[in-house]
Amino acid sequence: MINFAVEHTDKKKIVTIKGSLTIEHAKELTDILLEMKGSSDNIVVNLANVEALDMTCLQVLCSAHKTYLQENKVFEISAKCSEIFNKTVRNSGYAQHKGCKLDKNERCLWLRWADR
Amino acid sequence: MSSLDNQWIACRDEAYEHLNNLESSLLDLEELPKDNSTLDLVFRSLHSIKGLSAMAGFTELADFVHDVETIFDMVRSGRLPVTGSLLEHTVSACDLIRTMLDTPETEPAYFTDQSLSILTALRKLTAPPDEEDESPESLAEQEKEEVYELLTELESSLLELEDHADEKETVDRAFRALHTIKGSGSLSQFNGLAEFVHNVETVFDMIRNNELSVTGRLIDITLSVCDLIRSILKSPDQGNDLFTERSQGIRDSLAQLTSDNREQDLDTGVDEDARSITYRIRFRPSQGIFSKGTDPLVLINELRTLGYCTVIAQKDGIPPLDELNPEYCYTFWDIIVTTNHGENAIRDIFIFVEDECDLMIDVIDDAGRIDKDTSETDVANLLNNFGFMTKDDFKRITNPRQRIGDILIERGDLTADDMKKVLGIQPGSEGTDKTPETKPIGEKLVEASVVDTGKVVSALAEQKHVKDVQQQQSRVTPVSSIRVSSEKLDKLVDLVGELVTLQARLTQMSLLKNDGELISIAEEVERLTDELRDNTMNVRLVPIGTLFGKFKRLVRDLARDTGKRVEMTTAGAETELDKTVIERLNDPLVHLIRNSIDHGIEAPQVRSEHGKAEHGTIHLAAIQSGGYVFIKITDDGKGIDSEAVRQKAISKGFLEDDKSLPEKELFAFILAPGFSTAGKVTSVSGRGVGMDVVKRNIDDLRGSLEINSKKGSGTTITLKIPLTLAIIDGLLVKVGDSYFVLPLSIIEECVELAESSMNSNHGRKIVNVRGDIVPYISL
Repeated sequence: MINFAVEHTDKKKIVTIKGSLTIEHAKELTDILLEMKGSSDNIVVNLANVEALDMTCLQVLCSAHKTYLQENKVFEISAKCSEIFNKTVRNSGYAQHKGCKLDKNERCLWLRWADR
Repeated sequence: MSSLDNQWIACRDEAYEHLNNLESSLLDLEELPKDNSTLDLVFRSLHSIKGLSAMAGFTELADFVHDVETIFDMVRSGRLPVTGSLLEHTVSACDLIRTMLDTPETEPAYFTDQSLSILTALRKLTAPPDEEDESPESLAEQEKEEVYELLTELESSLLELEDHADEKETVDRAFRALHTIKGSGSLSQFNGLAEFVHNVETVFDMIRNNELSVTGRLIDITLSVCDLIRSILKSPDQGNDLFTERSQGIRDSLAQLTSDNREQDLDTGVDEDARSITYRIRFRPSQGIFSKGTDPLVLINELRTLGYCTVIAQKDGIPPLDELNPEYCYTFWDIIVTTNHGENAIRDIFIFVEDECDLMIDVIDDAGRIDKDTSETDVANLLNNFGFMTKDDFKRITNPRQRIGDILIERGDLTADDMKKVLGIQPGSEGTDKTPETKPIGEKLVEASVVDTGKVVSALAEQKHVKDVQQQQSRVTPVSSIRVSSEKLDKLVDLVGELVTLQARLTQMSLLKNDGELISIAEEVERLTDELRDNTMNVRLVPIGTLFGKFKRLVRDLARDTGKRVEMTTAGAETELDKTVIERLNDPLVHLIRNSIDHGIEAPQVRSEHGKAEHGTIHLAAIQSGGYVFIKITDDGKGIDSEAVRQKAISKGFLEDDKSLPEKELFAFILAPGFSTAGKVTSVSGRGVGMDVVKRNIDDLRGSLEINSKKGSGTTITLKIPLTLAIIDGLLVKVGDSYFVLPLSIIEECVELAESSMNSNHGRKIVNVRGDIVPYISL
């Protein structure tokens, strides 16, 4: 089970995830993010306490961003991420200077890692 | 040392270069006594001179330099500080080496006496201080403190290496710290500790020699060495026990690390001499790869260990959440890796997922390894010269960096037809399309939906990767050069001079014969001769910086002798001049610098009183303009008193009492023989027998000299020197039965003097040239 908590503010929902984001949690993460989409137009995922990460969950996050963009909703990753998360994004080649074709406003999740 | 054999002649020029570098580095050390890179330069120069002397059979000189080198090794390892005395004696050693290079026939007894006296003085500096000076306890404490400082330095280098493993300077710093720690007296009381540190130092030497890479493990091991040494020094009573207990583990780890490295080299067939090849890899895992327990990231990280890697994940295939199977892999990767491991080493990484992926590996930059002998660029140059190649093809081959469109086509991400279609869209040519022409091709392709953003991003990353690698390689590729004796070069120039003369005769003859075929041959010979002449002249050009460098020492010595403080600055040291001109400029420049220091720059106290900095400045600058080089010697001293010059000129009878002259012309009297306004004659200058010689030397070089000065502010002397003396284009003029050659550089224009214009000026020798009245002289 993913250890997660949801915090509501006026304009957004902050989903804080702790522990591992690996293949065994990929399906659950997908479901959580799909469910959130129905309840808010603005989601921030706090990954400051993620302790393990693999490609499956990176794909889920990217997919979530695309899904939210298609519905004109906002999906963001919190400013502070765990070191393991930062490292995996950089090593995986996900960190890029340009987003995909859906990303019209340069809000691609992975831009900021490319600048580091 | 009685005869100058051929081998010595071959080595001498190189030895002079190292000696000049040595002197220059010693002067730098005066300013920055703790600068390790300058110390290394001193050491290397000494080492090279020693090697050259030994090679030429000049064993006495080699032994002497070896002894000086040994002393500088102590300085390098921190056992001896850089002091004024050390530099003073080493400068004397330089003088002795120069004497031996200049006149190898020097009496052996003189050399022995001089070298012995210098070495005795230098060795005195290395002797331990008297026991009364410091107690053993305080010395030991001091040494311990030094080791602590060095450990801190070592640790900081290691931490830097963690982020920048390939920084050579940081590796050098770590190596030096280890080396100095090893030599510290405070380690000697513990059995085997110095030898243990020596082993760690050897590992860092392997890194310096590119035999081993910096890894996280190595850093961890070395940090544990730091901890061990610190613990031993903090508890010296238990030092030996601590050492026995903990050192073996570290030794084993180090041994494992170095043997791993060797095995890895053998396994992957690393060819250390080989230059790196850049590969483009497209790794497209099957969708089910995750469920087979394979993490593509592990494979990518393993690829990174092979060399410089750029990884781009292609994420365009990731669907929205409601279509996503989270356990499927939708990502594929474009990886550009520059490595000196072969393609097999790359394939080995993917060996266990061969059936689970599509893997494409292409060489995109071979750093000139393939078809090295028939360089594509050379052939392209040839074809281009003869007009057999289009400009675009020429550019493509000679500039190996590919364009984005080409990369995408090569990868199969774009078809040539699609690219042509997109490039064919002109602004305004298709209805409302207002795409500006300057828009990057990548953007155009994405807008036209013929390729995904990710693929363009990847192609851009590849382009940048290749550019970075090529820049890096161009920095490290040594320029291939050979050393040729100046005599051979002079002979070559003489022969080219003869050839030029002969070619002129051939041209003349062909014109006289009025034979079309001969004229055509003569023109071809003229073109080739001109090219040969220009190339030969270029070979003789030497940067003037070699000359400027020598004056640093002169300025230092003169300043010391005159009790002044003078700093020398230079500009345009890279300006090139003919070797012969540079050699002949030495004496005039020495004289001008002497004058500036002796008469121009004031004593520190006087300068302070006049509101100037205590340090005077002499600035040497060179700049090329057309066929000339202008050399300026500027000082910020007291300047020339034009009234004193005037009075002296009158007293010498050069000038009439009542005649007034502009300053520039007044200063020209300074160049006359026997003219000096100096109040007193010093050992440096003031007898008035210098500036006329300077002028004569400059005249001999077909140059000119100009003096500008402002009383109280300083003086600038400008020398205008022709680039070369070897071959000068000239205009042959016949006057009566005599022939004269006028240098083309001083000829503005040749104008035909028509009979009619001679007659229309009523006997006055003037001619109207495009509205300007120009006087002429009949020869």
